[in-house]
Amino acid sequence: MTAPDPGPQKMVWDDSNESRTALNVTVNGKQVQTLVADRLLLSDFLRDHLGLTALKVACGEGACGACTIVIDGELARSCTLLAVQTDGAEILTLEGLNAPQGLNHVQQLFQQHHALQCGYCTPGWLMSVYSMIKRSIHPDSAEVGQYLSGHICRCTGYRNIWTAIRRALGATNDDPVSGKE
Amino acid sequence: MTEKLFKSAAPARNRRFVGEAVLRAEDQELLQGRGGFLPDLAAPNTAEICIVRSAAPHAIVRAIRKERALASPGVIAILPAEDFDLVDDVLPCMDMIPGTLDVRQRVIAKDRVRYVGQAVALVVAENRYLAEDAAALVEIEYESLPAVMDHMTAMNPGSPLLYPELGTNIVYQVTQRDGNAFFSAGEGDLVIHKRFEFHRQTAVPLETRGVTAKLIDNGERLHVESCTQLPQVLRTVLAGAFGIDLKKVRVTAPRLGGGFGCKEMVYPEEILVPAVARKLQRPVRWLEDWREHFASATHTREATPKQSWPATVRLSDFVSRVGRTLARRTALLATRRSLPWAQWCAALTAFRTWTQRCFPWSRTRRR
Repeated sequence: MTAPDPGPQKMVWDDSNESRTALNVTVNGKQVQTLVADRLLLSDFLRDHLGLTALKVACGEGACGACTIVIDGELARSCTLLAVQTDGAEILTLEGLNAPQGLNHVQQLFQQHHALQCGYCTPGWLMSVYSMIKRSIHPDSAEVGQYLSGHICRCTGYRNIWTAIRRALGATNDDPVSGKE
Repeated sequence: MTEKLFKSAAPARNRRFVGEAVLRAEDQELLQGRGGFLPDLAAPNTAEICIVRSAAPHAIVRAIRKERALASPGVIAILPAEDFDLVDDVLPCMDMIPGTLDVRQRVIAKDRVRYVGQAVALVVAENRYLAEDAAALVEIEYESLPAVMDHMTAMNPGSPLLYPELGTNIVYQVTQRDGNAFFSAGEGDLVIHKRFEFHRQTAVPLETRGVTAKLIDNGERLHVESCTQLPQVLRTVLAGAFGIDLKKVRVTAPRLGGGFGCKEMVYPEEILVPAVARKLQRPVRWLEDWREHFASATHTREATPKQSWPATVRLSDFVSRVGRTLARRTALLATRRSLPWAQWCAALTAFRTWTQRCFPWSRTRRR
């Protein structure tokens, strides 16, 4: 079919062709100074280079919300951004929201209301809840639904997630539809 | 033990577990983002694999040229079918019914591709970016063959054959009977006729598939991690594929980010990626992306009738006035595509409707 295979060739990775740029970012309060390939995705930078694997990559095109993080206070999809675009920015990932011990308040609510099953989409949801709390969104406002629409969950179902989020936003009842206990 | 695993929301002295909300033990790690899914786990010095997949639905592979790809930075190896010397390269099929033609899939396309997305060559590089660069440079010369897009056309005489040596596209035909197949409706019985058509679909879990493989215990054993719901089966298949002792293979399944059944079979990549680790003596991993998932992960049986043949599933139910199903006649036509892990499953099973009555508790023996 083709010429005989020369066999596996062990090569030293020559990255001289790869254009690189200096990057200065604050990630979860820590300064990071490094050189990154221009084309390196932010999600790969955070996961593979910094070991922050809480954010997940699923659709890879910004539709599913599993890679959601907070950049300078704004929610962002890390899978459709380049690392170099965040130069000078402050990045917050789920690791930065974790309590020193056990679960934080929102995480506890997610557990109590069974708002996760496989847990793959969960880190993304938690970043959105953080943003909603920061903006003091009312638990019954239509905006909650808009935030919900930014995430895909394939196993739990959205109702439990909605309930947990409403509780996190200060609701005192469990039913997101009728508002009844 | 139970006390340790599960935290009950109720006060300790009242704990019953049955009938009360129980907090899941795994939630803590998942909620903290420390779930340990396969993409989160990578051994040091892991090389990454990008798979060159068939862009043609049906074609003869005339040549694979890899010179340009090999010159691409960071490339470790380009491996088409001829570089894999497996003892057994046939993927298992869960339900090879006697009388079925053997069209079990090979792990990698040798000289003919039979569907879009079939693995043709593996590109191994220092990271995924470089592997994708090189994969784009692998030149495959196809000689296109006519493709068939639905099973109705595939059954027509003179239709292009997927396996010419078999002389037919019809893999299996059967009529099954159980009970009184010639049941006729009595007075007052209701007969319901219904036709069902199913389009093809796939599971699409948020976490796609992935495989990592490395040699452990001084290169003595193979450790494969896979996004699979069948680690034990995979272990057996791997030992057979490489012709090595079962004890030399360790298979672990990390937490799954959803599976919905599509991770419940043995895939070509689960053999190919470990084969690369053995060949290169280096940890390797392959992570599927979503686009790839649509083409390479298993699909459901498709059933879209194009002609006047009774729809793909035609069901006649004879139902008594009190709502009990008395008899059922089913006609089913299904495509099994090119990934025949499970051919027919329950869809083609005749069953006595009388035995469907269910008394869940009456036979429970109390001690």
